[in-house]
Amino acid sequence: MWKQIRTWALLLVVIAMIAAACSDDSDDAGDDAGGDAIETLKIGVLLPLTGFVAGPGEDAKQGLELYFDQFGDGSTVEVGGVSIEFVLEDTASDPAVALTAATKLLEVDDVDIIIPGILASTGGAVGDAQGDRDDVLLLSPYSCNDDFTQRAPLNAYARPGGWACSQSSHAFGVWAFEEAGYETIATACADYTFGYEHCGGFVDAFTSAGGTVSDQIWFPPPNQDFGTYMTQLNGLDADAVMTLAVGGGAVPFVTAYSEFGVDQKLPQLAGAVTTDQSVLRAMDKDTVLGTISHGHWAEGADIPSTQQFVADFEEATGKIASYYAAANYAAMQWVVATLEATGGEFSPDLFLDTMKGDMVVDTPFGPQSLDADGSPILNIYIREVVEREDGKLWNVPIFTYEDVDQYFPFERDTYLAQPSYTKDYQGDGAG
Amino acid sequence: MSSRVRFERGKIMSTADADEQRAIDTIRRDRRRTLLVTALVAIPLIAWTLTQMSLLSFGTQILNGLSFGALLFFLAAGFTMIFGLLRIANLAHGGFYLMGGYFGITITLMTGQFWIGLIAGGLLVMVLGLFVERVMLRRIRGMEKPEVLLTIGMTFVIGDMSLWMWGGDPRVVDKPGYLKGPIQIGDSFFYPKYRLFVLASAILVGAILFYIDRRTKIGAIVRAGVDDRETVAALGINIKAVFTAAFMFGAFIAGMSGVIGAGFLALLPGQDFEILLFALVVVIIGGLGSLEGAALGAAIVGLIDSFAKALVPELSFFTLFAPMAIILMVRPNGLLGRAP
Amino acid sequence: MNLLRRLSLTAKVQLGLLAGVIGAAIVLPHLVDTFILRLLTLALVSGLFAMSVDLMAGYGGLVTLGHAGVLGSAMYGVGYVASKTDGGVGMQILVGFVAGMTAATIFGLMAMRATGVYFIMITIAQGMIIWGLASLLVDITGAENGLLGIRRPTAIESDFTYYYVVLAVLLVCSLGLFVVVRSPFGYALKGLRGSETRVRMLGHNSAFLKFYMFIVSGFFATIAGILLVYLNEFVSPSDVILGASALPVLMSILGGIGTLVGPLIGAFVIVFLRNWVSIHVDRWPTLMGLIFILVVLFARDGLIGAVSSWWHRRIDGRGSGNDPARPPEEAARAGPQPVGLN
Repeated sequence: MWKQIRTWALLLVVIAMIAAACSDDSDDAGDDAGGDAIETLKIGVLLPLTGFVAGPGEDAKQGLELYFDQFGDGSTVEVGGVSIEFVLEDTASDPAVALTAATKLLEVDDVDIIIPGILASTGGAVGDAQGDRDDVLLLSPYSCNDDFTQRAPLNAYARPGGWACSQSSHAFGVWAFEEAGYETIATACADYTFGYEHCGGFVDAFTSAGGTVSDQIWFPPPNQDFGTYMTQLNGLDADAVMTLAVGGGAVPFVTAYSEFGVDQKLPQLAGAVTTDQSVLRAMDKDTVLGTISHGHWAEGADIPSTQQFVADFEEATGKIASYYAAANYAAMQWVVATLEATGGEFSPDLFLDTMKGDMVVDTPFGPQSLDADGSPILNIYIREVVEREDGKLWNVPIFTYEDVDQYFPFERDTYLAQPSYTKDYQGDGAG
Repeated sequence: MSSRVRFERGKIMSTADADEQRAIDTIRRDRRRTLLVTALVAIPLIAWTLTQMSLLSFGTQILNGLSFGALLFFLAAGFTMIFGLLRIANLAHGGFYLMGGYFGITITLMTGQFWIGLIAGGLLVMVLGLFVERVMLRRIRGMEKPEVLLTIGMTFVIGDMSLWMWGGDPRVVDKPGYLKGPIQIGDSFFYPKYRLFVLASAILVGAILFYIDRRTKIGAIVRAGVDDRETVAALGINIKAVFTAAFMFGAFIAGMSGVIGAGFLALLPGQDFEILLFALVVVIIGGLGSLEGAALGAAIVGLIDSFAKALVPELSFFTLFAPMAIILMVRPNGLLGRAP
Repeated sequence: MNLLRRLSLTAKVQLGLLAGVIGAAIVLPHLVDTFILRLLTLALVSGLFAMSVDLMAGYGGLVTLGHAGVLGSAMYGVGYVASKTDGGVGMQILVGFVAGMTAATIFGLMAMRATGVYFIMITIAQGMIIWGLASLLVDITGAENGLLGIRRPTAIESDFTYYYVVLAVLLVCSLGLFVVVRSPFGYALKGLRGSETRVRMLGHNSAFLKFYMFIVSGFFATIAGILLVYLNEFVSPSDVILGASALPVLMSILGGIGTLVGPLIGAFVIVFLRNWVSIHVDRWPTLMGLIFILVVLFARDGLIGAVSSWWHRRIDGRGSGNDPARPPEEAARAGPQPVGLN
């Protein structure tokens, strides 16, 4: 026995010595100094193509491909002598897999720009891993964590084509009090960061405007049986309920809201993704028609750029475009517009400065610009689920707030002095 | 081999009888004690619950728990049947559910008939079950770990093929008009028709299964097979055929429950593993291999889920697993399970 | 040299293979790009984790589907100190170690009386409870956003160095596991796999045995967790979900359960399927599922089992006779074994 161990130990020492000898090699770091003229611009796109977010991932992929089909040959787009390429990797809806894939994009493909997936957790993880590298730009049309462009900004990060999680619900809170005239509202939102920020934005704006929030119900985000919560909602005394169910949970939530008869007492004011086209496709007309919601995307908006994109996307895929499809398309429009503005030069800082300048891009979402913190200023729509002539459902704006920034209706400085929204902090007026 | 078994059995019959009687007594005493403990825990809990919510809410939450439990019963019945006879923890059960659900949705859309979709979803999974049992599982009979790898492999294949064929968007089944919307009682009480339908059909199917189990020859063979496979085989019954039939039947129920479940849970990628967890928890709490166990476990899990979400929302992440861990620590073989 | 001469042909081949593999492991990083290097490191860490599970599932015969709870606790321990406090590396590793071992101890106390499929279920519950805590305790775990700002110690910062650190730790741990499974404790564990009643009759307390098994296996899982969190520099609830617990079990069965080397091979196969093949094949989950199925149907003792039975057929063909290095239990396991779950 001891002999064996001795042999092993010897072996180990040898290995350790060899390892020590080998480990002096260092990574070759490709450093881009500010504003180099380039021949190719490589965009690494991380998307969940398998796993529980595969539905939105597929839409996002199709939005991306649509752009490259329309303006290029399907895999590259030429802009003033620079050819833009993309490399697509699957995150399997798992931040750990996304991190590994990000290594490939950074080290093997040597990409210049990364789009870090759909889930907020993936976005944060990749943003953190990219950390202090100054040769890669992180553009996030999906993950919307408020603080990434507010209290804890990520390095070399902006959200062209995207949004801040509480941005649209701020406007929704103002609308609910001032335009719709609700005075007391309850909320029922998914119990995780996106839910806290999305719901918190509504509650903060609504209570600041003068409204009262009577009850807040939190439920775990996944697809589940919502019966319990519907029974609770039925017992509440309020004018309406602001709801946020996400992903696969949105369909059973909205169905249950109608089947338990909650909608007959308490109108539903739905979150931005609760009636997004990606889940609206699966919903039953009888349960969801007429539901009021909000968001920075409204596929039924009567804006030429929106309708053009919706028509093109439907022709290519047979589906009405969801926000996920539009966001990736818009992000590509931003990249191309920025590259045109810089005259074919790229560095993360140059790109960020150009984007945050006076650029306005006419995206499917409507005209967009970026604020100094890298988050979009755009239209926020209050939407209603309506049946289109062909019987399909879509969201049509009934009220529009134009040029909304991530702080609206507050001032930047007073807003940033507040804590981030959490389950316990939903704005100063929430009590 | 078989003749010797019979011979020994005959010789020591009287001792065996006494042993058996003692075993039955132990089980009975055990069950009485469980019932007592359950009552001691449940009564104060119910009393406390009633101070927390109105009687109407309380009643509605019971209905919620039971109707969700009804879906869980469909899930667990097939699983427990397969486990009881074949001793296979069929980890592809969630995959079967997913596949049945997706086919059911498509066939309902094509034919416009929910009932055709329901049966066809079950039948297609049953055919898959036949293939899996005959071609694959039979070759590794009794080998626990290869069975784990095989059934999980099946789940991956089914899940990914479903994603390929149906996409990743959530899907629900198109219910017939008379099962949509709420039933209204009085001015202000609404309850979804579909949930009542699921509850009623679970009771009906449960009753039929109990009848088959207790009163028919098939039931006798199955029960005997659960207790002692070797003896059943020795009695000249084709146990292999019984196994195949049981597996197909379990697969059929799993596929059908996918269609039923798609009426109030959405189908989407990854749902297969969640459903598998539900099935496992239910049969474990109830006790593996018994139909009563599946029914009891389903009702308990459904009720705990519905009340815990309302009363202790901060613990809603634990409503499924904490009770199971506690029950297993107190009773390592489930509530109605027998010691191995 | 005396030792070498006494070894059988098979053992010599095994030793030769081992030396070859270790040599390859040392040279390989010089031949591949950074991405493959990362996958290799991940495979080594996953392999260590799978070996810790193999100790329970393969030797003790008790399949755990909650071991990511131990791994994840260690990851969160390191991550919490790194991300939320200004503790140094020593503090990070200490807290990670204590967190992992605490989880293993509690798991052991909870499951020591369970057997068979009920053991599997209670471990599932354990893993899911850790997942629930990870999702619930926002202030400690960052919930689903995970813990950001974890960094490797500066001395082993580069991916290159880190690979060798992981390799060295893995080899030490393998040696440790090798000693453990050949100790009296290891043989008692194997007895547990055969028949728990028999173990009890031989005077062992089977519950305590299972508890020790959790502690020993948890120790290695904890080390894997510490290595993994420094590799990913990130931890989130998806590291402790059921799938994360199932992977090491699948790796073990795929490679060859109860062999310690098998899980390592299984880890390489699965890590490369998930992260490398998935780049080239869109339908990689189907491919992975099919590989599982084919291995079960055509190599039911896993990849190691397939290779070793091929080797033994060759040897037997040449008339070298039985292999003394192969314990009888392993030989018996090659045939069908009539174990039910209870």
